[in-house]
Amino acid sequence: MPRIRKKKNYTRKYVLILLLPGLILLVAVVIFPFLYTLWLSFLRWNLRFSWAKPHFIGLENYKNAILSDPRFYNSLEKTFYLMAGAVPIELLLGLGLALLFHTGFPGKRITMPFFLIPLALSGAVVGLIWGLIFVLTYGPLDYIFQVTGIWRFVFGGRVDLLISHPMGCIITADIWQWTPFFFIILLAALSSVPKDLMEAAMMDGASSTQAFRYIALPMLKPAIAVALIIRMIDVFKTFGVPFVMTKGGPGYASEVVSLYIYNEALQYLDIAYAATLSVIVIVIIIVFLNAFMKAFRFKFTGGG
Amino acid sequence: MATLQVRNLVKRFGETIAVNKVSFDVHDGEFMVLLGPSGSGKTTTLRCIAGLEMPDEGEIYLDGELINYVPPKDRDMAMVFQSYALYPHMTVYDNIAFPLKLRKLPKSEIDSRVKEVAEMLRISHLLGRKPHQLSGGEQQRVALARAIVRKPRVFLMDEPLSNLDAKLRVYMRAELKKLQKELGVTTIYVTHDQVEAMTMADRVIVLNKGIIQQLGTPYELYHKPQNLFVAGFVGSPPMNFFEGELVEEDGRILFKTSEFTLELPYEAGRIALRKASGSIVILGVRPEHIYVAEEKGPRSIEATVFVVEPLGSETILDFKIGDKIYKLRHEGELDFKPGDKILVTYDPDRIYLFDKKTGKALLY
Repeated sequence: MPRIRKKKNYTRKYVLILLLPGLILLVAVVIFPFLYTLWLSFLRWNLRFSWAKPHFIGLENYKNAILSDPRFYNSLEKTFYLMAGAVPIELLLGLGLALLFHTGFPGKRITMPFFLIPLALSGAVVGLIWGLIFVLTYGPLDYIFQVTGIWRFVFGGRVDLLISHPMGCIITADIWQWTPFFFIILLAALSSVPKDLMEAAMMDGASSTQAFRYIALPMLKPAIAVALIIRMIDVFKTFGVPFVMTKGGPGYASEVVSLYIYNEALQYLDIAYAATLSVIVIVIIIVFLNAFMKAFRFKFTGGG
Repeated sequence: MATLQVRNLVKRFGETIAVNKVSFDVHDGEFMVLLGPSGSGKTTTLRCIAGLEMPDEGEIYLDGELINYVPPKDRDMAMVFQSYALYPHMTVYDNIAFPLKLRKLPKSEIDSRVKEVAEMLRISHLLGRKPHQLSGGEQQRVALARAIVRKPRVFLMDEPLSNLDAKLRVYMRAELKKLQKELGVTTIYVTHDQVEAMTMADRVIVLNKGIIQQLGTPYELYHKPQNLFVAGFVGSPPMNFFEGELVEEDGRILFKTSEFTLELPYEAGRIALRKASGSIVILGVRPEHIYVAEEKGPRSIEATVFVVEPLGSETILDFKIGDKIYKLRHEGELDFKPGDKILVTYDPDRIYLFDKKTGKALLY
């Protein structure tokens, strides 16, 4: 039996030693890159001009981005389109699926994995799949729309959706990819609602809809809020799907913000300006989420 | 105000039969207790009545009307759950008001009824709190208040007292019984605690393995148990059972075991002999009907003291005959040590005889 040391010896020293690997990782992959990005955003540094040494220009990049970059505003607009178009539908579909699977139906166990496949795919793969579906010349959607008459009656003729409705295509793919995310989180949350409570509500005179509305839904609120927060941050990072499906086109019609930042950094090699845009996006996310959490009255600490 | 009839109720879960052809009537305003060990089907029976389970066979009538297919919300029954099932995100006030809000009662009436019930259960000072800020006893009262506030036709209670500490449970037992009599609402109460059943019930249904063992008043269960199960389940400490042979010799009825032979009262013995399916029977004597004998007599048996359990006003004495342990209950104190040799005797008018094969009572 090893001698048990006094508690005092453990503290401080051991805490530090045990934390160190985590701290090193955090500094290496989060804190240093962030600070470096912040530093870059104050420089003029374009890799296209190899002779031009980086030099400090203060807030000029920010001035340019905020005051005279319509393409930046366009990319933010497309990002918000994506958020507004996709996230609420993902939430509703996910909730519906979660309810369906929670109530149970024959074949539930077999069908379950199929609903989770999209979660396992990377954005690029999802973009590829849906790009192939939407493509006009040989995509299956063309055939379906032709047979059902959707081309004729809704669109007034065959159109290339990737060109006429690029954001619609991206939103569709995004919904397909991320509905399972809401589904799985809400399913877990639903099964944590005690059965007793639902039964008590029914005994109290509630229909199953009322029991869901007044008992289950309020108890799902924290889970919904967390899922929404994660997804809203995620939307700003959406890259794979639009990159593969539309490359941001036609023109800039589907250039979401992370795609624009990518273009600035790796197409035009203006990494200082790309860094500036990244910093602005981080600020937007923080402000946006704060407002959201206030609206949702969501607190991370302490239960309601 | 309501009467309830249950007819041939059957409920299966896969292969197992939870409730097997259960039939009984509950009178208006009656306090009916479903008593049984875990897995006896008592809770399942209650849930069928509540509408939370669909019976596989049989009918349930409320005031003569078939309610098998009526959803729980339309049965006008209130249920108190073992876990209390308070809505954690609502205040006590909203918890109690919830059933009234669902009935779309005017706000002023909801308010006055919630306050009236809160007053009745002495939880008025808790109305603004959330359930997690309450003690177990307080949560229990809130659960009761939520059931009472609607003035339902039937109360269903699923072991409502089992999560309380012993002292509070004894207190709430009396409280609940008084409340039920005041309100006069037909009540079905599920418990595994025979003391609860005996003290609170107007009538008790003893269930085991999904089958009704006996339906009767607490008095009948105690004095006239119809089979071995009821005899062993009702009463604390439980009844002592001796296995032996019933024989008639020289105009006397004798009960013979490997350790002792007893002469039984002739009349009772004759009845038992006639009814028994074989000669082996079980003799039952309650601990309170066994005494320590001063001197050897025709009904005394030699025994060895095993443990003495003094309870203050009474003493439970565990004694051994052969290698089996039995109990007797003595009013007052007993001054014995383990290992002491004693003589025990019993009240010949308070014995029970059961058929070993069928378990059925032979005397009553």
